[in-house]
Amino acid sequence: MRAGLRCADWREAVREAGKLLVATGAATDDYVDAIVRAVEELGPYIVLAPGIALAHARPEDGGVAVGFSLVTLAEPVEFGSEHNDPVDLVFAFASPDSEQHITALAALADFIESDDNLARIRAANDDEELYRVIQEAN
Amino acid sequence: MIRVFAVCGMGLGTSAILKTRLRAALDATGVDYMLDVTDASAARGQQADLIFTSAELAEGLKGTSAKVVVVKNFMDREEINQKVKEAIEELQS
Repeated sequence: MRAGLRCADWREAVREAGKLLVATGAATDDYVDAIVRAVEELGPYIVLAPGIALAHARPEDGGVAVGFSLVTLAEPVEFGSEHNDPVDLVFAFASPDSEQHITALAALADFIESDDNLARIRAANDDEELYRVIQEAN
Repeated sequence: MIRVFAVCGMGLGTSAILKTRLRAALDATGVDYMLDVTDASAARGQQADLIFTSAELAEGLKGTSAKVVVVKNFMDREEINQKVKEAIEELQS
């Protein structure tokens, strides 16, 4: 996870989140490209709540293992979402199939359902602090 | 038996989150239901009574026989509970 990044647009933000998945071995570079393509083709529906995007592609696009990442943005970006722009929290995940990520995804959903958790993520000034916030919530 | 779909672009992320929230909301209404997750293209080829999805994907589902309900905030249980309740009442009336 990375805190307080400056990204010019949603593509850059999504790529940053995707790159973290690649760095941990959860996904290939192709997977990152596929996430961007998915948003272009299917629209900004991945912005699932105000300020929050959940970026991902399909397992066959280069999902290697279950992995989650988070990028928080210093300046929010527009995804073109009708109800939930602008976005300053970009989560991404990868999974080797359509099942293995479900448990972790449910836990993530419960985590971001808490306004308190969201406030603490947004307040984290650096990567370490962000990591600590997530660890403490688990 | 009411057939319900949680639909997102790929049937993997948003809709999986939506499914857990829909299940809780549907249980609360007491109706007999079947709940599945699917992607937008597969949803068009299947029979359902109710489809819950995002504003961006709802347009593409208009041709189906199902009632399409737009969820704005997938994390907001109150919004989802309310919309499920209304949709079920409408189906049963």
